[in-house]
Amino acid sequence: MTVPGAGPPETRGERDQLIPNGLFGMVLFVLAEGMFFAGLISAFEIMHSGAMVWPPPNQPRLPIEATAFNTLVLLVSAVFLQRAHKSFHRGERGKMLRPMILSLACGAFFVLFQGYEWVQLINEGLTLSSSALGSFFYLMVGMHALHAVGALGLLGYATYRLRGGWLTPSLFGAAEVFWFFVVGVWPVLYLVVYLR
Amino acid sequence: MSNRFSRIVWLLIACSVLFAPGLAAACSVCTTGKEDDTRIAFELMTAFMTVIPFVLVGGAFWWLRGRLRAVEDSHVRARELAEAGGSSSHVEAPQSH
Repeated sequence: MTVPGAGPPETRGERDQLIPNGLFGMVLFVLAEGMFFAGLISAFEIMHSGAMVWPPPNQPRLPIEATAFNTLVLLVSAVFLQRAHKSFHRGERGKMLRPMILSLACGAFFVLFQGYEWVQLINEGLTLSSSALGSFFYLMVGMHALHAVGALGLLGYATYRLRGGWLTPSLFGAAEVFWFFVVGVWPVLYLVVYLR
Repeated sequence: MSNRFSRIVWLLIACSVLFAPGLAAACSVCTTGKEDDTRIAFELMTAFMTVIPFVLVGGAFWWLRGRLRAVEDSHVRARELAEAGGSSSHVEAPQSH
């Protein structure tokens, strides 16, 4: 995204870049996805308000404690990414690699742990068609997992380019905005879906 | 069924409707008696879905405004340096976001 040049005399007349294009595109995407998750939460709340018994009979209890631990791991990954962010903007790219790899590792652990939980829940009888809880659980948590996998892919690509020495502010900005969005949405989903 | 027994049954039904409407309306396959909760949920979620776009778009504009100010400040500093005869006439736009 650019603004008309109000810069130094030698650059006046040109257009100055306000934010990198990749980052701006990702911000627009994240705004749209924010509305998508708001819609899902809204639908879940209305469905939940009409239920006589919650959780529905003969349905397993969601793993609150294990998921709380997994939420903590996800939050830790955001802390590592924030450290990489600071190093990037100080120009200390050599110090970025470790926190980015740790952030990736925490994110990958979160997704794998979620997959393990899903297998357990399916074995206990919670499926997409077993109840309204199952339908909403797999839809909301599944869409979040899909976003997490996409954001991890982008973060992994940014790490690969960092190692090659050609990581741009545009790519890094887009990757971190996407990952922070994934991290930020999860506690809300946890409160709405799990703590009921 | 005797007339007296019939009256007692009707009295019990009337009492259950009057004093325990939830139980009287209880049904395993419907949500009768939950209309108020559903109505409140609809109202709250309507408010939520109305406010959320303003919060998201407003937040984005606030962030962009901050970026624009930072870029303008860096240009002002660069101009001041150039006018002061400093060797550096251009300062990089801030990268933070």
